[in-house]
Amino acid sequence: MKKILTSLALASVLSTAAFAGANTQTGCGLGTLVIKDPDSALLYALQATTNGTSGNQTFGITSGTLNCQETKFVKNEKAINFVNANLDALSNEAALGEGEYLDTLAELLNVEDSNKFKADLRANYLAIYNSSSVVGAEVLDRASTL
Amino acid sequence: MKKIILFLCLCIFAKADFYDYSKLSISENEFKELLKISQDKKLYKNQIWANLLHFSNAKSEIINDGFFYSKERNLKSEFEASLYNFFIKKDIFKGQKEELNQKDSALIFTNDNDNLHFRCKFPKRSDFIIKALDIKPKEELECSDLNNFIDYINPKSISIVFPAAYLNSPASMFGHTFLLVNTNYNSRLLSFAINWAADADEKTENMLAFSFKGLFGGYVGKYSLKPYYDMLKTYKDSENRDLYEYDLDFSAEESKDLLKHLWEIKDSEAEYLFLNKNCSYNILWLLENTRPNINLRDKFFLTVAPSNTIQKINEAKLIKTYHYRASKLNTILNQAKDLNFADIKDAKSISKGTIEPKNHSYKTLALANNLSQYYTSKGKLSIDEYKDISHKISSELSLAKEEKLREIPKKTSIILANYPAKIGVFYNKNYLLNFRPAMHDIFESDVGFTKGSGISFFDTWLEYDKKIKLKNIDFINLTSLSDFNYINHSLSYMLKIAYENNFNASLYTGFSKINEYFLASLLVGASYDKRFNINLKSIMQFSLNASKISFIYDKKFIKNKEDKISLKIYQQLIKNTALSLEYQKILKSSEEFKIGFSYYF
Repeated sequence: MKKILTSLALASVLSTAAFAGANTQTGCGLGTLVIKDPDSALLYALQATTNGTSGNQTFGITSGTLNCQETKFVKNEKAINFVNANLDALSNEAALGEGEYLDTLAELLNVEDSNKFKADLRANYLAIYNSSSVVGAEVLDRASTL
Repeated sequence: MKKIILFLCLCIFAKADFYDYSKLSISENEFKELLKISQDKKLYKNQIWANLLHFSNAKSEIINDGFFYSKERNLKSEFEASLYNFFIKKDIFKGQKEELNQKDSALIFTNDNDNLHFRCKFPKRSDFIIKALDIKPKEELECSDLNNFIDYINPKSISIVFPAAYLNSPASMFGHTFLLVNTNYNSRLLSFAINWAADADEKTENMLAFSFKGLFGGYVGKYSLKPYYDMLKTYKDSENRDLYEYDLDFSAEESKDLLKHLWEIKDSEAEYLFLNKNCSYNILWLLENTRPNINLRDKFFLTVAPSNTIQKINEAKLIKTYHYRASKLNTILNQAKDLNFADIKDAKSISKGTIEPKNHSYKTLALANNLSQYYTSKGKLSIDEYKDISHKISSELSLAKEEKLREIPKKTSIILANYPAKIGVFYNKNYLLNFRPAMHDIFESDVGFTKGSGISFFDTWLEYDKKIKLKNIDFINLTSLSDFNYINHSLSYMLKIAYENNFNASLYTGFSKINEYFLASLLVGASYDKRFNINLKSIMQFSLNASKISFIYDKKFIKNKEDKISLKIYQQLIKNTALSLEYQKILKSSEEFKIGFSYYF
């Protein structure tokens, strides 16, 4: 019995909540964050690895931010996927005028002078991110016409 | 004997009949000749072939049907069947299609026509056959799915990523690893992550069942591929784990080879076991199949600890350099170092929407933006609140006078950490032998570990006093001391389940303050050791590089005379070796002085 109890305790310490619910917010605007379910806070304390994958999907290049609104000017699928998935980080860095996400966007858009691009994004932040419900396609179209 | 021979003959006949040679692009005789050459050369015994089929202990670890062409699934039968399928005419697959569920994929595979041919599905196995028999296929194939896949990713190099333990979860020290396929872009964010994970539905499965199956079997794992930026949202931003990216010494051609093997096993399943058939173990298969003769998988003892796989990969001289990527929480703590207390307080209030961002400095608003994301990922702000607050902050931030943000210092590589298994010899008037399969405790060197976090399994002490006897065994010892500060309010805790003369267990919780050199912790707890007790524990620790002095005071409220004080001095000699000195006194009772040498492997 002791053995069983010990293994059960060990088991729960090790990998209970190995797969506890993390909730990925998908969408095309701000707020695409991964949020932990507050109910399982205690279980998270013991969490081992987030190792769960979901069900029936066959192998592919998976991303939670496909099927968003289409861009008008930019026809660059990788840039569109990147902006939709990272609108929060891009908004933050655009306001700062620096950062890895902006550098990446500059590279995806083949921008020649990335320092100018970053400064322009910052100077035009209020126009590009004109509301908190802005979506990736709008941001990308506006950024590309700077 | 005759019977056996007859039986064997029948088998061979039965097998020969199994092949329909009219489907081949070569004649029956040509095929049989190639088969004979391959059997004479015993090509199926080649290690490369065994690795391609994920053979370990004379059996493939892969369990699903689609991976095999022969019924017997042994190396020899698979080679024969592969050779047969290698030469099958492509017309056989014309107009055929197998449906896939790929609604969330950025790249859609048609999975039809010659994509269903052996050579398109198993490009590395095909390469092996071509090279080993020095032959050329008779027909050209398009393999559009495979080629689109490789073109889309456009691999240039490979890295392996280790997400460090996250706060308050020593169990996560055991960790995780995944691969990055770096592309032609300079930005690391545009790399793709190859992850191997248990296939389990987190929403429906019971927690205890999870644990049990994870440890003792019941899940299968498989590979997946997604943009690195998506992985970062989980590991860096939500779980607040630092990431170490180790660049591997693989050429662009080898990186392409790695993707080709991934293609072969993309929909394959293998048994998942937390301790040794885990994410990191299965990542090793990909590396071994990219560069034969590196034999990484056989270098482990009992467990395959993810951090230890990085160390073994380093020993195989595959690591060129590393990049450190700080977690969201560490980024926040680093940014806050540039601000005074009033600014930090304002940043907190702004991040929660209780004061307006107007008239605050660039650095304060930068911190507020990160905090607001941090609180949202912890569920303390709703998404709608976050969107509104964050947009307001950024709007003000874009108008504030620009300042230079503090750079985050690079953390020590986990390669420099001691290995997880330990064996030690100690002397306390008697000789003692200590053995621990994994992994780390807080009184050992912190180099490469998260300070204040420890987890050990089956820490066992044997004593020799005329005869060998078991002194004690700690089944599990879990410690999570986390710095209590203005942002992180997590409690520290310790848990131990052990056997020493009898079964005992204890659980503590409390507060800690930790910096680079100093650790102080005050904990209260309950224990059971024949009887129930209420305890107080305080720990003070000073450390410099790989040297440590720790004082521990344990007070028992119900049975006073068992109060205990301990002093532990730890000095690492060279990597993986250490000297320890321990003094322990149970007040008004016994005392023990112990000295010893430990070796980590």
